[in-house]
Amino acid sequence: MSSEKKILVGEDSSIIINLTKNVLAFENYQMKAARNGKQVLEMLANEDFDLILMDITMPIMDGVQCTLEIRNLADPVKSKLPIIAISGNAANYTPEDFRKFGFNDFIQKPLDYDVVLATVKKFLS
Amino acid sequence: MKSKKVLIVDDNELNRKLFENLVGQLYDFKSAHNGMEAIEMATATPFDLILMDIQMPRMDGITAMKKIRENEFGSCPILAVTAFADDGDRQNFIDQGFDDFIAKPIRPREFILTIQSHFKKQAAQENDNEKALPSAETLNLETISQLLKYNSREAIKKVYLDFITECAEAIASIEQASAEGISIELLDKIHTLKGNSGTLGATKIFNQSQVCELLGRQNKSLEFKDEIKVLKKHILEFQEFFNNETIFES
Repeated sequence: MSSEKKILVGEDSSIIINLTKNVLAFENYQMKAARNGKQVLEMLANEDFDLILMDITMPIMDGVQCTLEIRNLADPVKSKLPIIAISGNAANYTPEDFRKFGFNDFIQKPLDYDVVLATVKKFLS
Repeated sequence: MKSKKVLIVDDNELNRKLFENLVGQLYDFKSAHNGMEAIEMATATPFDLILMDIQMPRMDGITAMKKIRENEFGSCPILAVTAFADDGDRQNFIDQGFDDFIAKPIRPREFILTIQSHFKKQAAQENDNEKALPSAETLNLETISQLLKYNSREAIKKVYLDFITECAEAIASIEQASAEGISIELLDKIHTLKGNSGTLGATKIFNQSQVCELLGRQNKSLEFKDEIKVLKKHILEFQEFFNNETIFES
């Protein structure tokens, strides 16, 4: 049941956060938002999530660094969470690059929310 | 290279020579001796303006003008050039379908100024068209209908209002930057603007933020300065467009 799934979004733009929240709610996913990589780590330490959508470019700690830290967590579940990169400069990277960074998949900005939902569903169904 | 092409139509050789001399100083031209010839030439290739004598053998200028109007190149300015008129007849010619009229005997300076004024009007109109046309580039309504699949109209409107606020902040940063140059803070703002404008279908802002971000990261400050001005223009245009947009009114 997707209604039980919880998604953490690391994203510094409140506009994207608001839109994404509505879109995920449409499929009955719960969503919480962190504004930078450091906040993602803090929230993940206190709460369980089923998937992370991670913007690459964020202040304080970017998405690549944050993902690296998550993969190094001692917790066997949290360290293996599906993490989907959201990148505004996806043209600069190959899919192989994203995998090397530790992401399970990636989505390009500008966001096409059909793609966002399809990608999320792939990991949560 | 002369960029404008004028068709001179007059059966009187002396008149043609005079017009050709004047027009030829500024524009490319071709000449026709009568209405029939004018129609043949004006339907074969487009002209930017046609000077049409009224009284001509075989076919008069009014009939020729109407025939030219019917074909695909017929929307250019067609000016009546005639001895049988004074300013009081202007409306009559315009009612018939001419764009303007010039009285014979012509006064060279006035003659040229009248032609120029129509080219200027044309340029202004093209400018207006450019402004009005790319509304899809300014705000892609398809993006909005896609967002409406998952969001209420109200929720989307709120998101766009947030974006407008962000745009205003970006403009403030841009103005500060033109005094202080490229800063990381500004580039981060532009990066955010890029992602948001793209997702919200503000295509012009998106494309231009991409250009600015790249130049900024490469530290090309001169080009950056120029392109950031364009970005500011697009933002202002978007704000104005949005203020007049009724898609969110239910």
